Amino acid sequence: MFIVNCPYCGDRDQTEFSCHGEAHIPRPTETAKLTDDEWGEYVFFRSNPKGYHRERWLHVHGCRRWFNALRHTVTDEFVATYKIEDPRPPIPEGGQS
Amino acid sequence: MTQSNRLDNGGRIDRSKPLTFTFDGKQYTGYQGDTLASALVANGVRLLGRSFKYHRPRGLIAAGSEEPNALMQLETGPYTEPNTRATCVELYDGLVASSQNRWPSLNFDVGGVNSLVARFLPAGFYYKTFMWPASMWMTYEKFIRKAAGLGVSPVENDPDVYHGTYAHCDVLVIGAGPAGLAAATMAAGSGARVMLLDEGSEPGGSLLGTSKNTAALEFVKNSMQELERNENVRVLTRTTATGYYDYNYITALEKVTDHLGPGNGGSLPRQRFWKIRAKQVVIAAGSIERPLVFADNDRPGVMLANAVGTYINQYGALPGKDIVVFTNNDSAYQVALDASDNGAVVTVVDTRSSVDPAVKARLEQNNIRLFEGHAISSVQGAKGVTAVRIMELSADGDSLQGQAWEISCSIVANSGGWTPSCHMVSQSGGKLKYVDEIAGFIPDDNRQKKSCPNISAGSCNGSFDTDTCITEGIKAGLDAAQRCGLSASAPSISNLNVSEIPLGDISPIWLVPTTHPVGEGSAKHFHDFQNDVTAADIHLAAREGFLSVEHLKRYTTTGMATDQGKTSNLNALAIMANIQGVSIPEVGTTTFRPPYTPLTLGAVGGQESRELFIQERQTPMHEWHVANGAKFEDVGDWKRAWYYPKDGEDMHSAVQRETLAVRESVGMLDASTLGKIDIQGKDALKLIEMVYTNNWQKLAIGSCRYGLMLNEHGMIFDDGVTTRLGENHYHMTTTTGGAARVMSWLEEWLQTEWPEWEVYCTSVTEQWAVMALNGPKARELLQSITDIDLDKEAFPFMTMREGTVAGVPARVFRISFTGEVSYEINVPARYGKHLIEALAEAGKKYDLCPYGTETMHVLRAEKGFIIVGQDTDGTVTPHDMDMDWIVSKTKEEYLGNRAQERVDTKREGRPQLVGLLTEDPTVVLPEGAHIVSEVLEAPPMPTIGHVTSSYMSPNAGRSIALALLQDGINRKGDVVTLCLMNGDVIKATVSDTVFVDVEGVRVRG
Amino acid sequence: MVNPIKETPLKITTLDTDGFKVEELPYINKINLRGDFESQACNAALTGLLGTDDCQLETNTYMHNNANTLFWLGPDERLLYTNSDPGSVIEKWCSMPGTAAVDLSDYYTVLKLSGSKVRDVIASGTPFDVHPSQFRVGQCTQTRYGSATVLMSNHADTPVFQLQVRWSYAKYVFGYLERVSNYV
Repeated sequence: MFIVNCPYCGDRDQTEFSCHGEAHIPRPTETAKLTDDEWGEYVFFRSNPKGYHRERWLHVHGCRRWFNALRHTVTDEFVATYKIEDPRPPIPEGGQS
Repeated sequence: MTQSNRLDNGGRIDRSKPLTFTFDGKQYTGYQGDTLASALVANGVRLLGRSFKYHRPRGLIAAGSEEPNALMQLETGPYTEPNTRATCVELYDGLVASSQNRWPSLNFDVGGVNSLVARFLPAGFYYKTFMWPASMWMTYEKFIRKAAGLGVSPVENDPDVYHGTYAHCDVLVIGAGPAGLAAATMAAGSGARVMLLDEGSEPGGSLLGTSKNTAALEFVKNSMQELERNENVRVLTRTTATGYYDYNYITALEKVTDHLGPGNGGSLPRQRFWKIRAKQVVIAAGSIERPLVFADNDRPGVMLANAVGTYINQYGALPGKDIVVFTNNDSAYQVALDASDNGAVVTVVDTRSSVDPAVKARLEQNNIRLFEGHAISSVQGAKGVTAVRIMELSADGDSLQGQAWEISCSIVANSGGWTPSCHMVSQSGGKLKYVDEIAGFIPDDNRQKKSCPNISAGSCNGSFDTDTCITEGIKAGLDAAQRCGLSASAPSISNLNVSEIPLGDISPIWLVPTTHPVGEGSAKHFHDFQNDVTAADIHLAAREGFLSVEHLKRYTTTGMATDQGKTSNLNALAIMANIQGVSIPEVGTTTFRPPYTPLTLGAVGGQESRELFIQERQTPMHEWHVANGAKFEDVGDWKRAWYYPKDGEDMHSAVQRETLAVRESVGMLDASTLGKIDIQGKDALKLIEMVYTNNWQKLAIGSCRYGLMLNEHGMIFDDGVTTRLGENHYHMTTTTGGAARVMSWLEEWLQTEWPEWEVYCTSVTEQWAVMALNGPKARELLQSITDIDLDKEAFPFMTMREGTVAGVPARVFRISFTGEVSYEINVPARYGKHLIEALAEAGKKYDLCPYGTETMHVLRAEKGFIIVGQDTDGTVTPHDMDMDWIVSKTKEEYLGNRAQERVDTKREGRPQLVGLLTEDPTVVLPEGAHIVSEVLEAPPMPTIGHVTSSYMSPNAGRSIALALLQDGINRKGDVVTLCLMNGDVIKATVSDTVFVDVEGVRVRG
Repeated sequence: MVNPIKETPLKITTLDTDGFKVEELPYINKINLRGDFESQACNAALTGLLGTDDCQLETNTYMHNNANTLFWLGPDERLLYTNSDPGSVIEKWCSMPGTAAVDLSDYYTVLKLSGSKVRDVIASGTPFDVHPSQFRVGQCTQTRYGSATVLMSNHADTPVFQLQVRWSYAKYVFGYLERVSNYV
């Protein structure tokens, strides 16, 4: 059971949140021009790394803000949480994503 | 009253408070302060159960929660609980316990014959025997269930109540022995919020079971006084830390009233489940003595040495008058002295070849015989030890030599050393390291998980000397406080000197040899008592290639079940290491998993049982439904009125009556549960255009439109009607179950993809109480209580008007889910009950019929209106639903647009929504029934679709159904075949999905 | 037509036990406000409503003045309890660009909790730490209690807490409080 640092409310219990998968997957524009493969890449394919992962969280039982987190999928260590508009914090040295 | 083994003095029992209890139907007496185990020891009862696999007679081994053998069926009827460890059950008056896993009686057990066929029950027996053929499993299962298994589960509802709670602290200390008390006192002194947990009925841990305990008990008392004075400290006894999870989330089970006996807890819960979040954790969980693995070491009377000491010192009960102490280390010597001081005849057998002369001299004072470099070669007495034979151990420890000596005894107190309790560290993700000096694993502080900061102190850290434990505890408490940004100064604590015998070296001997090689002859060397696993089983596993420790565990079942290998794991690893000729750390350890000791499910559920099991949501009209006899249906978390049976009506007749009434006169439905979202902002329309498939540009203020939402896979995921309230203001409705999902969907897109758009979404679901009036008399009825002009020109279909209804402000939407003239009346929730009462009163003139969700389903199916989640299942596109009409051909972008152009979503022959009319109009197809392309003798049969909705429609005068059928739209008019679970074959004609008022004139009437 | 009373989901039910009291407060006007709360305009509008100099709220706090209470819900979201007519407040608020306001008076009901057991009763249902050092008078937070989302605020050291719950969850939360109060 994690502690998640909401960028607005601070450290809270994981059960106040929901996690919605990989972050930074922008919706393509002019989708009509995409091939099936390109569209499939956007809809179906995610990186699923063993290591650092940028993911999208929602403080659903709190301020109802969406934010991003950089979490290690093996140790469950949260390196950082950051607002949607914030720049991406770097992956710790030696880490892969 | 014959407590034959009870000592006259000593122990922490209250001899002025006798308690009566029964074991296997026989009555005994113990004292307040006893455990069930200590009371049985005091009464000289050695045979307590039969073993799991071989049904061998078994007795107590331990005095604490590591006990593998003495599992009891406690109490009877609804209060009965299987597999309770006698060592963890505090005695209360009237306690009823019985032994397990024996039939017909403990003394004569038929299953004991398993012992005779033991060679046919080797490791991996279940895997080898029951793997094949699969069809025989049904036969095997009966045999296994009967022969194996431990206690019996209760069959009645649990009459007890349980409580769960969260807690927070700066420093959590697990274990209130010398190290834990010192740590807690230090941390508390720094001003930290401290929690201290201990599984015992009182704090003190190992200090309670020592003989030289005056200074020790003083230390406990002083520490506790200090802790109890501090309002930032919470001390929980009878509380076991059961699990250690990420970010220092620790669960613990508190046995609040178990010790009072069933039904005696008053309003207090039986148990409490703590969910603790700690900034820092000090683990002072102590250590567990390991048994030596020697021939027939499972005979009742073979106990751990420290258990013998604990029964003497803490409970004033001497387990036997002739005791052989068998050891490979110094810790058992104090037990030998304690037993001797209390009148036992004691012999010490030490596997080590030379013992410290000072120790020898001390033994001589008590006339204790000592055999150095000897080992027990066999144990006599099947149902209880009568004697042991000892022989000289060869220099390499691999064989026995010389003449065998027989020593009469009733108790063998054995010690193979101590295993630090690293369960919590391991659960926290920490790694362990092997230390030769103690022949055991301790926490590796350098390999801890960042998110789980903890410090181990005392014997769980491999420091067995009490004074060192206290020193480590003090340091741990200070360090933990410091890591929380607090500080305190260390006190000076005088030496407690609880042991006369200094702890010297241990000389590991992992498998005590006999005159036969392991596995030959009739003797068994048990390392895992609870699972009946022997050294020979480990040899077998190794021969068959199950070398990895994880394979070994699963193949032999060593370390499984309720004790999770507390006494057995290290011995198993070491035996495997010896077989392979590698070191113990090379074999590795299995991962410790929660719970540390068994948990009751009731405690995990806590107060969230019965009506609090699922959060039940009610509408403002709920009480009216109850008063009017409604049956309720669960929809999401809501209780929705399902149907309103009149006298003697069953569900079918009630629904048929309600369905007819709506189309003949007027009906009303509580529609408050529909999700409602208020959408404002200058970019509101942009959002609506993106989330729905159709066009919204031309929607006038005051008008409503139906919309379908797709996910990016192009599949339908919600639908509803949205109304334009103002220039940049919309009122969106969603399905009842989809309300939260849709709100989250809108917010996710707005906040993460289009943050520059100015749109604000607010859930208003509960702000509005909603009654839907449907039927030809709806207009007339509503007009009688509203100031809104309901004339069909003034208030046309798919528009909204504001005004008052029954004297309260209302928004009325003329939208329809029945195909009848329909008004959805929204009033602020505070007037919900008033509205339904006013409608019921005014409706008397118009034969108003309240109807529930079942009738709603029939009415909408008659019109072919879909229910998302019933007629769709997340794999269905608008085209599959035959709803191309709602998909814009001109919009460039909306969510799910591109997915509809994928090869698969466009392919011919996808399942599509159709109607089905059975050949026999009285037959109602079961929902979920499969349409097959070919009827075979037995399933599986090739399926081409399935029924999604099916009802008897009184308005169509026959049964109707909706189905998803491959290429269904092109099959209209075809006759298809359905094959039901019971084998019935039914023919049906594929039809349109609209069964009533095909032209759709009534809704506009 | 008789004007009906303003009903609340629990009809002002009260539970009064040893060390723990729950009262459902009478109907309160509640307005959800959205906008840029760091802007001059929003601040001015709020100070006008509350009669205070400054209406900037720290994260997860509330302020109270002139029978109005303003709660922080999110960076661009506040909740106002007010005696003023919701319609006119909303109209005034929405006259500023980039704002929104919604009447949620009926969406929620408010339970007032008091007595020595309050913190233990609350701790039984929420993972949020309500120790006096962590959750002080003047603070509020949205969290969950049991399975319901709540807005919880601390109003006095004695202690007095308020728990705002959605209408449909009111009976569930009340039942939860009642049951747990027997166990702590």
